[in-house]
Amino acid sequence: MHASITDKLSKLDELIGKIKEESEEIGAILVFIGVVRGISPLGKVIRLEYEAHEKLAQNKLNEILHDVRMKYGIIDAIVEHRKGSVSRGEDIVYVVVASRYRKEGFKALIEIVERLKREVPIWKKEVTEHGYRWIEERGSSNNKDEE
Amino acid sequence: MRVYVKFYAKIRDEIGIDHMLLDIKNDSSRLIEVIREIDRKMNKKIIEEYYVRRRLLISINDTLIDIDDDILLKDGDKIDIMPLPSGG
Repeated sequence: MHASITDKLSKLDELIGKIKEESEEIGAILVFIGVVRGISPLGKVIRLEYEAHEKLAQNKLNEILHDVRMKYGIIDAIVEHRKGSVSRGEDIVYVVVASRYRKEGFKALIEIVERLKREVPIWKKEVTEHGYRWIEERGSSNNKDEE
Repeated sequence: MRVYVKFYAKIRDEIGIDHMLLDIKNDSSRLIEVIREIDRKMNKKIIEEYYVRRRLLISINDTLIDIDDDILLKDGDKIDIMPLPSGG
């Protein structure tokens, strides 16, 4: 299990190769890639700027991976999340889950992504051609586009 | 007592400073009292508004707390005040 907040994401095929080596019991590898959307209600997106409380974020990601492994019995999981400036179209986050069978893998992947967005102290500022705004968490009345 | 307070992301932008050293007359103080003291010092009612609406995260000495708990702060504590997460 590995989680990191990083300036540069690993190559995805290397992450998949690494997790595949963990166990011969692996029968499914599931991947989530978060990407900077090119358009927002404010117009054309130029970049997202990520800020984190790195110590708390790292601890919370480790806690989430531990919880999900215990809950679904997955074999391994990796999370890498960018910090700093991320341009439109670039990858923001990789979540890779390895499991024996696909069902627990899908459930684990969804739970990791959802908890990452709701619980990990990372924030993003969206910079567009018309200005910028801090994106608020899901459920906020002025960010229905994030639902 | 003296505590170190650091602000993050949108809250930092709204309050207009990155961090502050806050002197409080008592030897210990409840969280809400510290929050009110921050707003009083900045002459803005920002942090209490976030607190009342439960739209912030707070950590004390790098440990996230439940803001509904009865937290007593003491001299030398480091307080991080953060908006709710929006990563991913």
